[in-house]
Amino acid sequence: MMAYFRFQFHQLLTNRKNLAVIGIALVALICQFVFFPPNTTPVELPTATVLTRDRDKNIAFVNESHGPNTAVWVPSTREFAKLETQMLTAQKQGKNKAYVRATINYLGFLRRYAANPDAQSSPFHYPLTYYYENRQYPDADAAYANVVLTQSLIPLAKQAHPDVSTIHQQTFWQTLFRGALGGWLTALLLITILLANDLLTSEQRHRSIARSLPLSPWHAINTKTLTVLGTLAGAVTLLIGVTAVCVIPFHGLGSLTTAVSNFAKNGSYAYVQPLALGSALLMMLGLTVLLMWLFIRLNLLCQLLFHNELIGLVLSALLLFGEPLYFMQGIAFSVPQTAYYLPSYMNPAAIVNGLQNFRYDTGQMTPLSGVIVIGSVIVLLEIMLFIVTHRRHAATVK
Amino acid sequence: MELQLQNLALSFKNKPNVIHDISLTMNGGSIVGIVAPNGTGKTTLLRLILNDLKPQAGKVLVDGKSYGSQKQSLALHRQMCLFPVQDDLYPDLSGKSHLEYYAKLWHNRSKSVKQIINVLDMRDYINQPVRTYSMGMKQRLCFGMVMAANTPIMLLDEFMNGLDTINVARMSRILRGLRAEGKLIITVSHLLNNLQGYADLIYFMRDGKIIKTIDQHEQQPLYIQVAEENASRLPRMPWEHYPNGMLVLPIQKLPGEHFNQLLLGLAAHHIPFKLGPLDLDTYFNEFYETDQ
Repeated sequence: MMAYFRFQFHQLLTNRKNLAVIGIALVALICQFVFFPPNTTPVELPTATVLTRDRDKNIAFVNESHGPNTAVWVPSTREFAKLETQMLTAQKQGKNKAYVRATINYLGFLRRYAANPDAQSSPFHYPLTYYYENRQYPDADAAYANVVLTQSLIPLAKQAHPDVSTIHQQTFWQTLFRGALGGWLTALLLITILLANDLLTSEQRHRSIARSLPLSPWHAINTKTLTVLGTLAGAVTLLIGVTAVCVIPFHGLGSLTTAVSNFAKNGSYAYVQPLALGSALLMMLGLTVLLMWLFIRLNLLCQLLFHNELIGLVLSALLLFGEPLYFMQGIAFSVPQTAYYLPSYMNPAAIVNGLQNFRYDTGQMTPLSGVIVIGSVIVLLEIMLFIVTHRRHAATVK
Repeated sequence: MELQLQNLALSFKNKPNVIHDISLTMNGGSIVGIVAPNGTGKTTLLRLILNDLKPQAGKVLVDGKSYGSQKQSLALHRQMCLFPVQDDLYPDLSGKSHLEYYAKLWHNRSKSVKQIINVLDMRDYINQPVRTYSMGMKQRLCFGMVMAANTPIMLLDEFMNGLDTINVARMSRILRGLRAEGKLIITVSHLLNNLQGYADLIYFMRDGKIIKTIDQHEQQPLYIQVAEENASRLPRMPWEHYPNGMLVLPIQKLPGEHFNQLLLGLAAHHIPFKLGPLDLDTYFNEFYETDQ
């Protein structure tokens, strides 16, 4: 019923809490965009200044004596300095293809020789940020990032004139994907929860109107769900628009056929394969819409059953942020079923590019598994909602 | 359109027999007034009609159809509209949005929102947000919303509250117009003399039951009513003391010659009197004086 939809839509958008949520999300996006990735290049790609400094240090190292380690480290350091020089030269000459090839070799060298800087078993190490961030497994994380970036560079090395923004993963489409991986989707799901969280209980302030409407509870909750999804579509469009304005003039739109990496595992054999960015974004969008639907329906069900918004809020927060509760304690590694727990699927971008597979050391956490796990919960929620709203004396507002 | 209440009964945990075996039949093209003091089940009765509360016994029938499955309930809900509570209006929305919302939800195509705005004289403020409205403006808007729904059954709870005399008269006139269109209007109002001016049927409720029905189309018994301070000057007759300070004498108890003599005597002694049916205030005081 369009009248009810339009009225609900208007209500949702004139609700000060909802406007505040969307406003805060917009400000957070802009702040994140200005100060954090994805606006910056990946840490695996050093700037010309850093490269020059490191290369000069390496050349100085080669020219000094290092006692018993000389035979071990001097040749490799010389090789590394050569790779750095190649990267710098290619950068200076604007030869992007040569730069990509040199970078692939540089990353490959690091994979072979890098070690934890504290171990002092090698003078080479992955970007130091991995070690400053107090990660549980910095070496593994850095190695993963190295492999993933290499895989996305390999197709570019085959191109005649690869674009520098694409190499630095800063085009519009790449920014969207990196942003999604970096927390934008979590923020979006948080907005979903906050919009859905008082959909029915807010009607209690308009009880004499809400209870006399000629609408079935099932129809009412479906319309409310569509209203939230419509609002979210608008908010996402707005946020994407802001991103486009910030990115496209400087780095261009990019291509949807650009490769992103997908980490997978077959038995004990782990591998990284390229995946078209367009497909990745589509799969990510599909999973995100499913999660949005799940959170809206979960909150509606809680409001119907308990007549307050807090229970839905707590349950949603547990689902959205609950993963670290078992991941941090190591349960994720000791209990293989965690690969099928719903909180493990809260970041669709991490599912699509295989980051979750890497974190859980499994090959099970694919987008299809995501659809199955999220879809199963949605089916369960739909059955419960159908029963609750089709009881003889069902009412959306008590 | 016929609305039947069959042996309705409802008790609350801490309040037994709020509605106690009420059976009524009401037809379209009439205005029904329900009169009782506050907290005696009038609004509860409206909520039972709306199926907002479930009766413990009895049922509500609209043209022979009762609430049952959700589909049946929905079909009945399309036939009736409840007067909204002022505090339940959406403060950030304009009055016009409220009217359009009700008109569209109940698929009203015969009565335009513009027409309702004009009839209720709301043109000056209807596009402003409701939070800027006074109590009387909100009350008119609530009434307009029921008009916009344009349902065959209208449930009006305390709909004259906060209105000035001009608007009370305006609403009363509109109600008569709605009755002429064939609507069944069930009202709960404390403006009893005003109610008497437009209602066709008036039900007095007490202890969850209908204790008196006044059909205003039937001949009402006539009474001579004199103020109590004139008691010493009145002839010895079966005068009844009413709680509103009046002495009342039903004329059907008087033989014809006594009636004439009494009237002449009252006139000769300049004793003010009133001849006519009892008004609702008098009944109200008679029925509920002991309760208060």
